[in-house]
Amino acid sequence: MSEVLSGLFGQLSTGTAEVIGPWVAALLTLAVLSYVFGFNPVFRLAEYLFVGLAAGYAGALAWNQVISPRLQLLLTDPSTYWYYGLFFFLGLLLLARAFRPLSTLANLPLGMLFGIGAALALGGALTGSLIPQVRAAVVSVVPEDYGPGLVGWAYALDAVLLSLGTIAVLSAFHFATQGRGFVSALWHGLIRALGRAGRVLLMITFGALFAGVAFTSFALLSSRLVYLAEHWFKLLNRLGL
Amino acid sequence: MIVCPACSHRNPEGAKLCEACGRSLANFVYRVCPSCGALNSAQHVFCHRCFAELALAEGEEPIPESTFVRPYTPPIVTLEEEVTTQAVHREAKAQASETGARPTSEALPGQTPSEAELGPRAAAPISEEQAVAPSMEGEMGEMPASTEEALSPLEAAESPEVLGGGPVGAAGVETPAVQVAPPDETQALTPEAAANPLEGLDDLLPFEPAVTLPHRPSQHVSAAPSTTEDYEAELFQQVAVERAPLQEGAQVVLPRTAQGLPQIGRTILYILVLLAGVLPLFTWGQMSSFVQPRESVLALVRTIEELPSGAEVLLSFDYSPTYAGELDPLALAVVRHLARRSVRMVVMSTKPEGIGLAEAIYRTITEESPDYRYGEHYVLLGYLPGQEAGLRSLNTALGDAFKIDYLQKRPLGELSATSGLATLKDFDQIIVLSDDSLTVQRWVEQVQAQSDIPFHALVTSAVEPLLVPYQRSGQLLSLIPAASGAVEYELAGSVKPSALFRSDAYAAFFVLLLVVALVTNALYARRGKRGS
Amino acid sequence: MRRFLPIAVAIICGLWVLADFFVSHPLIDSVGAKLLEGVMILAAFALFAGILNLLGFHARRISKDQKDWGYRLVLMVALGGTLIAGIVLPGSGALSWIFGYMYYPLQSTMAALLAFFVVSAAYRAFRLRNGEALIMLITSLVVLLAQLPFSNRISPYLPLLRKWILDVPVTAGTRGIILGTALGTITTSLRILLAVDHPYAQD
Repeated sequence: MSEVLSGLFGQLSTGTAEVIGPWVAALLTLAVLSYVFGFNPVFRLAEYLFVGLAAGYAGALAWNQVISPRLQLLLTDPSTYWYYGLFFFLGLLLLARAFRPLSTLANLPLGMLFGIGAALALGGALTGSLIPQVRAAVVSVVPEDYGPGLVGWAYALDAVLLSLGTIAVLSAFHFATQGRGFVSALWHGLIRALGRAGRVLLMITFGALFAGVAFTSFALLSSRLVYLAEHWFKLLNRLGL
Repeated sequence: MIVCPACSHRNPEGAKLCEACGRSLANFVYRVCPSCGALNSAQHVFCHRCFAELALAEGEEPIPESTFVRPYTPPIVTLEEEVTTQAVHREAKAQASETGARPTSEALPGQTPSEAELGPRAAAPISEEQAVAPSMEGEMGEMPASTEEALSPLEAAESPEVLGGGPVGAAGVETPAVQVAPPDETQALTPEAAANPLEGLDDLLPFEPAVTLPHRPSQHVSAAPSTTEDYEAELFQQVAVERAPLQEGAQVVLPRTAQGLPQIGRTILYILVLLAGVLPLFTWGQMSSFVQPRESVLALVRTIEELPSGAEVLLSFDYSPTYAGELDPLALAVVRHLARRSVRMVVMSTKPEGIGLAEAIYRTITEESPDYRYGEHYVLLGYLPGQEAGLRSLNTALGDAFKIDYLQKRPLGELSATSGLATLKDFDQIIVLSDDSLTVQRWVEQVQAQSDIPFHALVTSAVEPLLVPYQRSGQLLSLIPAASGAVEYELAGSVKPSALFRSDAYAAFFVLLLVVALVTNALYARRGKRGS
Repeated sequence: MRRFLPIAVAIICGLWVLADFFVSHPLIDSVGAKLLEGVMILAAFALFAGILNLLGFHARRISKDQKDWGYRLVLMVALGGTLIAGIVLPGSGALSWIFGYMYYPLQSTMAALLAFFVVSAAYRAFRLRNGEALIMLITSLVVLLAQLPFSNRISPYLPLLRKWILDVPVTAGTRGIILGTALGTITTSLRILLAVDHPYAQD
């Protein structure tokens, strides 16, 4: 079958795909851009086409890169790679999730996925995020450690702001009610004041994030428009227009 | 078109049962507004949301204009006036209950007695008996208690049947009401409408209440209700829906200003965005002469310059075509630089699409430098599934994660670029290109924290702020946002320019955003002044 | 037994991989590596389970002859065609062509549409309702301006200001968020490893 299909492709003249390709790409780009005028059948067609292509592409890669080579290893050397057989069996049980009457069969492989995933997340969060970030948040506030004169004081002030700011942001997510007593009231008041400062810092963060999102989205649009314009020019040139 | 109230499926005209869920569609007929797409009851002539004229269905007769009155501007009643009026009415009721007489309200200045009775928007020609027509009881079900006695101006003004809904029936549904004339209106209602203003009204919008804004025909098609209308709608919600009378000193509901851009404004804005996007085609990078590369870009350039020839670098293209427009130029600049330094590159991706993008980048490189060969100078390992598990498996052995390469499907030991590589520790640098902070975080947690290899992240501008703490803690040696980073890298690394011209587009876009910020606040300030 | 087995597997595999994080021992490392490879294989199968689910969903809608059956048919043909191109014709370049001339333009253009709506959203986001909105607006404009090529011509302090904004307040903000999510992740993972939560063992 694959020889037949390859043969069919081979009968096309060399470069046909490279000639048709840009036209297809330009038309699909315009189909998606038509959304600016409202939701329309052309955009919808492009949407459904995209979903099909995305799923098919991921499936093809998963087979070519992950399953097929390991299957070949299992078939050629089962004594060394016997554990692949076990995982393939679990994988088939996982496929049962797509069929409602058999979906409980998938619980076993899902358990393995959840357990290992939880362990990796725990280990990674602890060693890769929590400890290094806490360590980085605890910095010297002595000006002499940063340099002489005003420069040292500026960096020291930054360090104080950074440490307090981190605590303030964490306080902004404090949702417990106030207990009874003077100490509890004092503590609650302090947390609330810090929380207010934390919210200001979060607004600054959101401002920076919005700027990034705006910049990114515009970079994407500019890239597509320039591609369209360049390719249309090339295509029109080729047509002699 | 008939919209099913249960599943919102749009059924053709004449359908009796919903095509999707099978529910009966009796009495659910709607008109779709051609301007804003809102669903309106069949009786509406003008859209309840944007006041555009609605198209008639085939064979449908337009409702006579005489049924409606001219555009009505309700008086602005302040909170103090309403509280006073309510207090007066309560006193009157109390007195009446003591004496047994029917309570009447004193009219406020500017109000006729019937306005005082029924509220500023109530009808003058319609007597009290007619307003509570006996036929309504039969059609609408149980009448709420408020209509059985004279309404205070506040209650009458905000009651559902006057503002925009009908009386709330036993089924708990609201009916749209016909607007009624103010007391000094010379244009009379038709006898039929005067007899029963709610005649002929049925069919409801159970999932789109018709009372959020008052219904009235308008000469102007506008998406923005006025400040007063917003204020009244808020008051109505507080009073009628929450069933709580306003007390003295109660919190005033501030008017909600218009939410969105009018359509023409949006169109102009989109055209300006398009023009800014194609500006580079005409200006070709005039702004690039001002570019000054930032510290992290210079650091990466220096790092690559100091790599010995034949060094091994792991690149991970962890982004999808969604963000390729921003990341591809920076990826191309860095890969060109690495190729010029004769560094061996091993390429992988934790997203299926990433490896396809990498393939395209390297196709460009090999076209520019035919000496740069696959298998010898660079290898595409392919897609690594499993997220954290896949990344963690890189720490143990490269061969555990990848059995064959992506292009030639050969074991890694057979390719000269990967033959000497066993684990991650054999790499000199790791460069991750990503459109998502979680992916970089996973790399840092599962790979960098375990192996301490110099690590660089090239990310989209949207994601850069989220990863700054990792740079500050030293876990990331470089953190470069791709949009401006590509322009800076091409200059600093002296690589072939392909992104330099984009600097003009970014400048134009910033100017546009600045203009939007100024205009929006000017309009907002103006609306605020008008409303206060 | 039906629920006990998945929970037992989850705990055993999870604790083994967690031990691999902190302990270096040949047996733990070797079994741990095999477990990680197993997860990669299962992830690939999970992808196929998703594809089967997608195919079934749309096939059912087509068989019921619903109004948009044409679109669904296009989806299924695209899916099938790409799978054939990738699995049956791996060396023909068909998959690369599909990716380069169909997948890439579709996905990148959908993202490009964002630019229009971000500018439209800026109209509402930039309204100075209160002090917090003012802070957000000023920060956005400064950070954007400082990234532009001519920013150092306006003032040499602009890039420094942007760096300071990212290094101090933004770092404080995002570090707080990272610490919070790390603590949450640890808590949730512990709940799964100690079998307090077992979302996978539902009937």
